[in-house]
Amino acid sequence: MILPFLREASKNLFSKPSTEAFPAAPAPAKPNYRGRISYDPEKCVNCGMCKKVCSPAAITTEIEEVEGGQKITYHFDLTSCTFCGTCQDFCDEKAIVLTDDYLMVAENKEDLIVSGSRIKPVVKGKLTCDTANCIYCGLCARNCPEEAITVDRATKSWTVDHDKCIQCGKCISKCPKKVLSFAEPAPEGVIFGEGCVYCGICAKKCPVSAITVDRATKSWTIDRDTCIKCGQCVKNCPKKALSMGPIEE
Amino acid sequence: MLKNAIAKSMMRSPWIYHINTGSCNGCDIELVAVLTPRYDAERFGFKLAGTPRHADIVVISGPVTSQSKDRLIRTLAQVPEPKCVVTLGSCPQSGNVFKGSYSVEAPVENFVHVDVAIAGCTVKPEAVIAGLYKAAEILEKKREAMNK
Amino acid sequence: MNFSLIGALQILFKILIFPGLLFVVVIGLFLAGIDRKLVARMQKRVGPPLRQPWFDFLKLLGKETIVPHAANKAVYLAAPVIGFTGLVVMALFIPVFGYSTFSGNGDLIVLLYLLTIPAVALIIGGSASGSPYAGIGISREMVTMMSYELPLIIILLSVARKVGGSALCFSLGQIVNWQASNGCLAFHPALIPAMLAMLLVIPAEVGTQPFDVAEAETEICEGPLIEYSGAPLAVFKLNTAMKMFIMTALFTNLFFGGVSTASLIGAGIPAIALDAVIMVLICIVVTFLSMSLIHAITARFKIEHLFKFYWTVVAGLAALSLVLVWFGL
Repeated sequence: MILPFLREASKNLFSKPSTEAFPAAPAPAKPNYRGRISYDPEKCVNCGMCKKVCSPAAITTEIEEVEGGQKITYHFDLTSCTFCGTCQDFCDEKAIVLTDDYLMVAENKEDLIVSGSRIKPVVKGKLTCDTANCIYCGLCARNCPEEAITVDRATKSWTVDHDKCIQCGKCISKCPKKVLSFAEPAPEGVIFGEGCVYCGICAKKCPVSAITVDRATKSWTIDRDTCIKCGQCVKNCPKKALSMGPIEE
Repeated sequence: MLKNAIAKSMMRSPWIYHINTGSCNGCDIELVAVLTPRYDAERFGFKLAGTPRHADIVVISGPVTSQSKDRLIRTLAQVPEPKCVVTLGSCPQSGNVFKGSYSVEAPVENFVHVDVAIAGCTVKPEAVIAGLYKAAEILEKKREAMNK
Repeated sequence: MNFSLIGALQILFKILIFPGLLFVVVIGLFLAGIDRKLVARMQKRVGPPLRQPWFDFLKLLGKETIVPHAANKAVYLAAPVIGFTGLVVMALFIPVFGYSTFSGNGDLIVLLYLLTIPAVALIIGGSASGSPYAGIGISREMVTMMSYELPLIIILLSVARKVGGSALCFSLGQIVNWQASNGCLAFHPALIPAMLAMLLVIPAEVGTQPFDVAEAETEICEGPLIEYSGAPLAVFKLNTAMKMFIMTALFTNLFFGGVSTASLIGAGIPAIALDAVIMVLICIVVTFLSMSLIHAITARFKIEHLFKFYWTVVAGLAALSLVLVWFGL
């Protein structure tokens, strides 16, 4: 009953051992091996999807206000990671890649934390939608990591909760019609409307004398640079011809 | 001269004692795989010891359950100096997916000094070899420090 | 005065260097290294370097020695030394073919008693450590001892009968001399079963793989050695290696004696050195056949199976030889 083993043993004695020469020669991992995380902060849009799908909560972020924008830092704790690869799958920007580097050996736990940071310039303006061209497909809402956008196709409504929006810009890149943008909000100012009788009350009430009214030539001008948008002119207009609103240049 | 020889052989003959503190068995299997013909850690003198008294390197796997925490500390106290502690995989370092459970005491660093951490879930046998080799080098340094 | 000083130095040389302590330690560790390498190669592994037992020994010397609270400190620390001393004494009784330190009439019987000393030292050390695992280990060690002692005695008896006839020769020196003139006992058909039995007794005496029930590290955590660490453990490991050499050397003398080169190149130190080399070579072959090969192809016995195996198969082989020899074959 031990004869097969005997044969095997004597055969092995004179054949080459099947041991891999690992530390001497490199042993590349098999294809699709999920090893050490590599993180490219330049590609990252700070959407936070990876953080949300990570089951052992191995991903942490730090946001720091610095000059010229926000400094966003991502930490991938390899001592906490299960190497499931879900963060890689969910990262649309391909900023997270699980490489085939499996030699994650360290005396210091800090050496096993992959970090990356970049400075994200402050986005001026809020997310706006050109509703004239919007097809209400809802892709923006579906891709929003913070669920700030709601789209109702039936009523053709598109709304965004600006408090929730983190301005990651994901919706903009996903929009098939390219109707989303971080538009600069139109500066508020006094708008000259219809019904003016050129009485000049506004010019008189203006605390900074920004308005000039010429009854003879029927002209109404405002110096936007001096205007402090106090609203006195709008309040005192007897014909309600003035209003506050976005200025169209 | 004898002391130097002893310090040198410290690195060439590290015996391993393996403690499973609630591991899923993934890392345990990979540790045993290191002793198979394909990886053969015995060519560096590694050997699995049966008792902590014979061990030089203690390998911890698992997220340290509350039940095993006390046993782990007691076992480590039985290992003669110089000794080295190696953690296998993510679990002992952080608790991995068990993090936050009422019965898990990870990270192990809170009550045990860890010399080498091998990350992975599970660790690859090559990584285990590299980690144990590093631990063996630390052993030699510890022994040299004892000489002085 | 001068003469006795030289005599004393000679005795010291014999005890400490050749064929005593140093020789046995060096060759024993060498054989242990060869054994580990061969087993690894048979399992298709690269295996540790030949110097590995040296590294293990030196490393254990450098480790902290812990004496458990429950242990009897003096006995606990003395046990490995007792075993070591027994083995060194044994080495003096085993001739390097023609060359022997102590040769008397009954040295084979003395050896038989001395052979139990390392095992008894293990039992004493284990029981002094006060661990329940050691308790199981020493009970297994005792059963193992009982198992292999019976076949060993029958083997020695058949050799003694073959060499001495009805007078029963229990002198190793005479057995070797008899083989020098009558050919090796291994080539006498009546003693071939005894030789096979002896090959199976060696691994049990040394405690290698299929017969290491007493020190099963996976089930009873190294048995009697469980609490040992540092230098005492190093000595125990050394004892195992020395036992390897002493048992294979005993086998060589019993069955391959008389291959002495003294008749070819004349007696003297070169002949003794050459004899020693030849003996070590035979020892390596015996180590391979009796320990490495069996280790590589078998798993560990259960204690009751071990007992049954030795008292039926091995004792049967030995008894067959004895019967054949008794009928004058």
